[in-house]
Amino acid sequence: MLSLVKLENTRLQNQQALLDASNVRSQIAQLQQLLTDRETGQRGYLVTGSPLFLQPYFEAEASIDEVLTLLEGSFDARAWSRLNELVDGQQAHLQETIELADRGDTQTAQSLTMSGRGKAIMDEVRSIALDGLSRYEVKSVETGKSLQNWTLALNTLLYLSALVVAFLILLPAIFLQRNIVRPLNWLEIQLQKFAAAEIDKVDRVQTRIDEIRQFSNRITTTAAALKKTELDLQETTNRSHDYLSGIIDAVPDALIITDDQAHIVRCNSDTESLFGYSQSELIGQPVEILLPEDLRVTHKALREEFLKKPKDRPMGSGPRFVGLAKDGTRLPLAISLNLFASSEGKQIILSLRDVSEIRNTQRLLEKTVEDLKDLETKRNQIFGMVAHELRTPVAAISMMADQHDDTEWLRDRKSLRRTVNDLLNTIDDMRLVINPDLKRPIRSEAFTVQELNASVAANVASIVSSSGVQYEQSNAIPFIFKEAEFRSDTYRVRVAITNIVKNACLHSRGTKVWMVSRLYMGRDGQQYLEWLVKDDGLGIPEDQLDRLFEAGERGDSKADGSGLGLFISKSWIEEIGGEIGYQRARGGGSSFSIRIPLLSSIESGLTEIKETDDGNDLLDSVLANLNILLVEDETMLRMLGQKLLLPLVHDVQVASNGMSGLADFDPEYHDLLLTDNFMPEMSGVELISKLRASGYSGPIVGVTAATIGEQSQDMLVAGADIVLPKPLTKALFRQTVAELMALGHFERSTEDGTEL
Amino acid sequence: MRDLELIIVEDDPISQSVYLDALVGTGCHTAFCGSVASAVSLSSMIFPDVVIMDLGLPDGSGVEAIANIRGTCKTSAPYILVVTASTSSAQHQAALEAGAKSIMVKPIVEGEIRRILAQLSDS
Repeated sequence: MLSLVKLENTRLQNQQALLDASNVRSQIAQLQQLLTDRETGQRGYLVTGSPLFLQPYFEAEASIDEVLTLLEGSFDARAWSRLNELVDGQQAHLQETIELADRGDTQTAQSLTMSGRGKAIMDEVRSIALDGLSRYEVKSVETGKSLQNWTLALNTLLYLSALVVAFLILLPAIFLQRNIVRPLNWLEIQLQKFAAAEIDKVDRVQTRIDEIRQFSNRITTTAAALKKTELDLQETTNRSHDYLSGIIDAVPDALIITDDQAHIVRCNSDTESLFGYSQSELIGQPVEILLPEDLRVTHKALREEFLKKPKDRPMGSGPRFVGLAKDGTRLPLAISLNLFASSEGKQIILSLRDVSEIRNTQRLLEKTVEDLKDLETKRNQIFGMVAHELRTPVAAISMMADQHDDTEWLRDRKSLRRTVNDLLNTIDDMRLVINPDLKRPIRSEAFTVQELNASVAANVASIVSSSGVQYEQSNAIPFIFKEAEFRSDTYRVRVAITNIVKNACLHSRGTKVWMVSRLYMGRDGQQYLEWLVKDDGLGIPEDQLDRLFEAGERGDSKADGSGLGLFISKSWIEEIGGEIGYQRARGGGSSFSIRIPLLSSIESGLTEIKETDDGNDLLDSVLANLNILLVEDETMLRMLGQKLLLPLVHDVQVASNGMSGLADFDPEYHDLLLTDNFMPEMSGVELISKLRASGYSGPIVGVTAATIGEQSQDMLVAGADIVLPKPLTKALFRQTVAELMALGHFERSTEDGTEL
Repeated sequence: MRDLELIIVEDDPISQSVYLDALVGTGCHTAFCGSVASAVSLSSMIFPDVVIMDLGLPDGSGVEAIANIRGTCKTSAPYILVVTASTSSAQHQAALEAGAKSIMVKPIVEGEIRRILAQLSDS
């Protein structure tokens, strides 16, 4: 223990010695560095003259004493005082040179610096420092040696004590080794052997498990494949099921499939519509649900009989059955039966056909009633239109008749002609309403906007005065267009504008109606003539706007007229490339616009009506030789017809009905029969039939007012070559004769003509 | 883009024809007239979006018509473009005070007319 304490002390001393030596070394190094710094500061100052370098000089100066104090005691007294002298000496030396430099004597200062005194001082400082240091190092080496000796002694002691301890421990250890460790080792080996055997067993089990797992995987794969096959089968089944359902539904009869207990398992959509039950209501029910109660018991017996002696029964071969629909109607049915064995046992297919015509007849009747209603509506519309469209021209004619004397009649022939034309056009249009397949032919006439506006003003004059509204009309097309001739179907345009102006006067409930003709500069580059008709009335309610231009719509129930006006006007205007539109007027009321493409009379592509002679010489010669029999019961028309035709042909004879016509007609003299249809005694149709029956094959022309409906066909069927609408005009007659020539008539007359 | 209601007040047939060319494809419903009276009467019916107005008219000055139209068509507040041969700034001033939006000194510049109309049609 003592030696351990001694050893520790020695070790601490050695450590202190090493530490002291290290401290002294670093302090000396610091001192040397400071001395060098002081010198460097002085040199810098000398060379540059900059006081900046005096900064490190003074800093070093300040620290030197501090370091020297630390070093006191680290040196012997002589070395210590010498060191102090040297430090002070350097200071004095440097101070001197700095002062010299301050005085401006840099040369002396520099030569003093270069004298080697500074270096000598530094060298001596270094050697003193080394001496002092070596003293410390010797001291630490001494303590080191003593430490080594002490350590050796201690180790020897330790080994000896270890030997004693080992001996004391070894004996029981040997005992332990022999009596415990060995048996334990043996036991461990045995255990290892046992474990190895067990592990082997486990391995084998693991292998087995793996095999089982593989096998199970194979089973899973097979199961999946089976599942897929099942799905495929299912799909196929579904598809054939769909196919079957499709077929069952496509059968035109009601088809019911029952099991052998007569429960319905399937039925088609015809069954649903025949009996009025849905499929879900029928499936699972006994088939007797479709029979009247009084027949159900009998039927049960019959079907049991059928099952005992099954025999396919074709449709209609057995007795007629009566079925019962859901709504209680009894249905006479024809039934066919087929038995077939399916995977679900015996099944019976029943085909049922409704043999009652009642339902069909009923449906037909309903449809007929509907059609009749439609027809009635149409008829009403036509009557309405007659009132609406015929009133004005008739009123105009009546006014002319009342107001004018003979000379004025002649002067106003042009306006009379126009009024009559409007009337005839209206009558034609009635025919178009009944037979919409016939399109109103598009005509092209030259007109000026001025004239057209004037005719509209004339047409609406009476309505304006009777309705009490203020009517204003202006023509706001460019000056250069005012006299210009354009082409269009003027009748359509005039009627459309007139209609709308009249409607505004009658129904707007305003005080004022304006009409302005102007231009619309279409975005398509096309220019349009546009007529704007505006009123200051109530306007048309929003909810009626979408039906405004439909047939039968009028926007006001009080109005007379058919409401066909707007509908017809719109389609007419559209047929000539124009448009009719409605919008709420700015400032209130309604605003209609009618626009048609602006076509000058030169660029018009519309077909022109040719009323001039075609200058056909052959036609003229035929006409010149023609002898006609005109059969007409109306005295006035008979007289006018004769007067009209006489200048055109050779001779016109007349008869007042079919009977006298038949008597008077001489195939040797007359080249042409012109006949009316509705006449007393004998009709035109009868006259024609009789003449044809007698073998006459020459030309016959019917002239009739009945241009509507099938009566015009009757005369054609009876044998007329051509049927003309009344009134007969010269142009129409010329055209007709030309057509008859084209049909191969009048060849005899021509020959006669050339012979003459 | 909407169709404009346009009134052109111009008593010279040749100028009217120039407008006709300028207006091709513009989608304008166009009424032409050549007097203060007809301009006022047409405006009170049509409530125009645009009025192109000449100042020297046979029955009076366009300035009168402008004031009258501004009074009648308060709600539609038409854009009034004065197109005149007059260079008198006093007259221009009078037209602007009466309610004209802008003034073009003749000759009529077709492109400018189309530009103004297109702009109004889009607004």
